[in-house]
Amino acid sequence: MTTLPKDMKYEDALAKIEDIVSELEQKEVSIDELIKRVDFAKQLVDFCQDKLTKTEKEIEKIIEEK
Amino acid sequence: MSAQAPKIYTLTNLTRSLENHMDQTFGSKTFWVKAELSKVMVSSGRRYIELVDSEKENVTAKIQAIIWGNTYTAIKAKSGKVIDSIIQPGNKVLISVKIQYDKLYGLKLLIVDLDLSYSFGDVEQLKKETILKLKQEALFDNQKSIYLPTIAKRIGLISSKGTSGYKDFVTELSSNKYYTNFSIKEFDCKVQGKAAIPELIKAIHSANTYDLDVIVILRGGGSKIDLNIFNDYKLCQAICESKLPVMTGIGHETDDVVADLVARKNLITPTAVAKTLYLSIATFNANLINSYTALKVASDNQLRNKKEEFKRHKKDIYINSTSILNETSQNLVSLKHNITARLNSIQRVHSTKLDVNYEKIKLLSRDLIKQQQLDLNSKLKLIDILNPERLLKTGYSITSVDNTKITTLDNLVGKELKTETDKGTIYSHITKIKNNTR
Repeated sequence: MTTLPKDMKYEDALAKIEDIVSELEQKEVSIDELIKRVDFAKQLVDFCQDKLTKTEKEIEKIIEEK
Repeated sequence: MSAQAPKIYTLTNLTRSLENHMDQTFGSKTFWVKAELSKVMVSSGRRYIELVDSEKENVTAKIQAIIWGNTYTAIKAKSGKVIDSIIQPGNKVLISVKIQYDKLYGLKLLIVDLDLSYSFGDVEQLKKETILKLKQEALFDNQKSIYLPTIAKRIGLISSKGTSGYKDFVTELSSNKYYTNFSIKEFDCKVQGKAAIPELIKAIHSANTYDLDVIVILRGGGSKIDLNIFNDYKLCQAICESKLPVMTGIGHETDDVVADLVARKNLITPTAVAKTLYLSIATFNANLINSYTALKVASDNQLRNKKEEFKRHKKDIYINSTSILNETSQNLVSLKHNITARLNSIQRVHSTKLDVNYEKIKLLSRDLIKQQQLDLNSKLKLIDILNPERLLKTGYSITSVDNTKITTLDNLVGKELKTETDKGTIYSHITKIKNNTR
């Protein structure tokens, strides 16, 4: 299982997700690689969702403080 | 020849004879004579006078003269008080005289009349000469350029102490209701007759050594002849050259004297000088008070206006600032909403993007797997279709020559043909080959 780097950026994660989608669309992924790709894509999506949620909460907090 | 003894007369005989001769010669004849009065003595209404004539300051003639009391009264009745001023030492006169010789009192001229115009003409001549000379020496207007202070409190008073002019001036200055706080430095001197001239000049020079605001020269009043000393060149020169401003209060009824013309300011009486001095200060004080009052009113008004203006501004500032604050607050709320909305939008976009991508991944993965499964199935079917056993079971057979798949019909005649079926293998001998016509 591939693990995400600690300093992963949201935009990089999104770009990788889009790369995976593109690979899948082009059917360039072998069945052997498919599980690895989907698993990696799930991690990336979770990372991005988490980042979005956290960012939203932070901004809400900042706005409410004012 | 024996000398004759001289005839001897008594003095009485001689003087009587002389008296008779003079009486016969001159009698009651009168003569108009120009002369200068060198001495004048008054006694019991009579004027005893010494007449002189001179050329280049050398006396060329001298004789005693007399004006009888009744004659003097008659002349005075005709010409006025001015006669008192004319019959003074130093004055030049045109007189009508009788020549009289008295055996007891000697030779005398009896003055019977006097031509005023001659004496006045002398005054006018002196005035003209003095003015001309001062103008030629560029002194005439000197005083006009000297500053006369509005508040002239320190006064150098040149006058004859105790005269009416002096008293009028001092009384007016000290007892008026407007301003009396003057400081007077007195220079007591004569103001009458030729002897007054050097005293006046000395007083002017002396006054210039003091810290004064103005010099005041006073003379109570007098006739044209009396005031003639104020036409004197040296006196007027001293006035012109004074560093301090000079005011004159020389009482006269007709023409100005030269001292008046050259002074910084001239008034017609000593009282008028005093009035001018205190009214100038009083006017200044009044103006000062008026200005102060006006200033106070103006400043009060301005202050009130400014206060009202300030109140208005304060109110405006409050209203405007409240308005601005409200507006800004509303803007902030609106901005916050916008940010939130924008944030939500971004969030939605990103979430959607993520969802879409993830859905795509899921879908594509499944598709990929399905596709693989389909491929596998079709391959399986193909394998199944292609299985020879399955073909044999459906009635098909497999033919070969020398265990080799027949790829050509050439050279097969005579060879053994092997036919495999579901039930068994058939061996047959090739005798004839017929090619397909297609």
